[in-house]
Amino acid sequence: MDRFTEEDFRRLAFDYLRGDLAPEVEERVEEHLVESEEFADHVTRLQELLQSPKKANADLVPDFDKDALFDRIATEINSVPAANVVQFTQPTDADEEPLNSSESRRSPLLYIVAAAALIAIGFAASQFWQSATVTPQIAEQTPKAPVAPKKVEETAPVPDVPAKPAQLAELELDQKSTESVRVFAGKSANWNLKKAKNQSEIDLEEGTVLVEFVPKRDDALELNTKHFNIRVLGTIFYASDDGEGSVGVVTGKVQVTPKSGEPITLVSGQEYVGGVGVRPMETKQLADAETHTSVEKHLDLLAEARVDRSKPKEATKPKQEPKKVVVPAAIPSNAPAKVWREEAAEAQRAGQYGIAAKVLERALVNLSANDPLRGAIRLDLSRIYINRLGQPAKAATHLKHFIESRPSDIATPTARKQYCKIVGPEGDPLLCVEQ
Amino acid sequence: MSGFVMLAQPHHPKRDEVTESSPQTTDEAELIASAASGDMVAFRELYDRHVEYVTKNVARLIGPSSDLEDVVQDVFVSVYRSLDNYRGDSKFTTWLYRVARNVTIDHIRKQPKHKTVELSDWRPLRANSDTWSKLEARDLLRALYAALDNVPAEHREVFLLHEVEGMKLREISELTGESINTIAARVRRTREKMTSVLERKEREADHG
Repeated sequence: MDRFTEEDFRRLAFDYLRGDLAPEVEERVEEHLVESEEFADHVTRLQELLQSPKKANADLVPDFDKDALFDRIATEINSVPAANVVQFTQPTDADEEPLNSSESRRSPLLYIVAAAALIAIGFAASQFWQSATVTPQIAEQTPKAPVAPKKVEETAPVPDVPAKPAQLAELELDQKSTESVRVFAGKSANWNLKKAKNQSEIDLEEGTVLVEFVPKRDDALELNTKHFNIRVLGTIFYASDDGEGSVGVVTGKVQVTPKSGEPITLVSGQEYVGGVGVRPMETKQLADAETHTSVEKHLDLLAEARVDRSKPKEATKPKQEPKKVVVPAAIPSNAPAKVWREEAAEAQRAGQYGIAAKVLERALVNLSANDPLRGAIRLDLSRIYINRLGQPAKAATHLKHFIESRPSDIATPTARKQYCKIVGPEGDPLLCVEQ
Repeated sequence: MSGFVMLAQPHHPKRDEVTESSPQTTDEAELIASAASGDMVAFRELYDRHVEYVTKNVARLIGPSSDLEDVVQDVFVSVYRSLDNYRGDSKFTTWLYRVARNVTIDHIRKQPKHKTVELSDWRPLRANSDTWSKLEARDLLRALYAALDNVPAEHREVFLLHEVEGMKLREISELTGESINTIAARVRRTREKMTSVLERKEREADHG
């Protein structure tokens, strides 16, 4: 047999460890292992390196909270608008709460999940959220012009002109800023920053702020106003109190929860304006924001923070509370409609749309026939069946009930249109005749 | 996508860990179809069944990293958005592996090269015989991934599947969809790279 060079033996070491060598070659390698301490050392190191992923499996695959991870997955999935838009406006009954009506999806956007978030929160001085019919719209392929909300009874007056964008040019870095939370504020801004362990919280009472957030490890940031709660998901965003108030995202995304309404997720280049809805951010806004903090520099900071987080997480990290799973049977049958809807909304936030639908179906069974919120519940169900569960036939049933029971409701034309779109020529001709 | 039933395969511990998470049945085919149409309850069920499988495969590729959860999150978001593309012409776990692989390799490529490996990660490779035996598995783990850091992600993948998981070239080819020729070349080149890194560090250890 030919002599093997040292280089040959080293090359054969891998297959030797796998047991893939022919017997005679394996024998030669083993002879060399005995002869050469250096080669034996090399093979030993190689073997131990290759075994390390199995032996140190806990370091390679550390435990994490899989329920919490799924929540984040569901949140991210839900932040992408759907292809079909179902829009409903608020029913006329004064007791009914405004619906979070519009949901639209567009093809997924690539966004940079930046650790820093600049939040500009503007909260409206007016009562636009009280009984207002607001239809936040998320643009599809190209951003659309802002849509003025429809007027309903007992609604605060809607502005005749689009809301003025937040003024970002004249902000200054505030001394209350910390290393991870930098706040640029206007002179008239009134805000304070609370920090507890890994959670920072800004209460904005008045004015405009631009916040840059560079989290270390598991830091989180929320910003509250009397009209919105904003959870920073990793972004640069701004908030303003001017006019009806506004929140805009320079890069990344935030979740905005109006005081009475469903959470809305904004992504890069979007702005939510009270009384108007979601619209694309003006170029000037982006330019003004960049005078205070560069997006590129911000992303570099995030990358550095990510490297700093490369050490294994501490074992003492508290386990997150598992997200509450809504069990329909747990809601008492005589619960008011508001409770049923709140439970369903919570199930939806958890991505549990099937459960949300069951809760609302049970609500319809248990509520009285005269309950003013039955209409809103039927619209909620229709939206869930169409947009989340892919069951348009069930949606059509509820839409038909709604149309027949509330022929003069402000939402009826839209409900009718959606019903007729689902059922097509097979539908009730009386409902689908041109009005 | 049509439903199908997969027959149980002979037990092969190493291969099972990499290629299969749970047997695929018509029940799972229905789950996949429901999830593809937007049913989050069905998607949650799929997630519960396969999250460990995905996590193991992502972890193998990226090494010890605090980004693991983020990457697994990205994988499942990508899975949800592309479930419509699953036609049933391969095992679901094979499809899932490829989605995970693409997302993870994309993540690896975006990392700044000079920041992924710390100097301390190399130290174990420079240990002499006496100190080497005292090293812990976690140090060796970091050293392994330090040595693989300059190897392309696709090469790293097949090397680990072949050398650490003990998979055959044919099995890796079926899993990744790459040709056996490509797989063999990647294993060969990565072995050469590993050997040269080890030799260099051994020389550094000898010279103190």
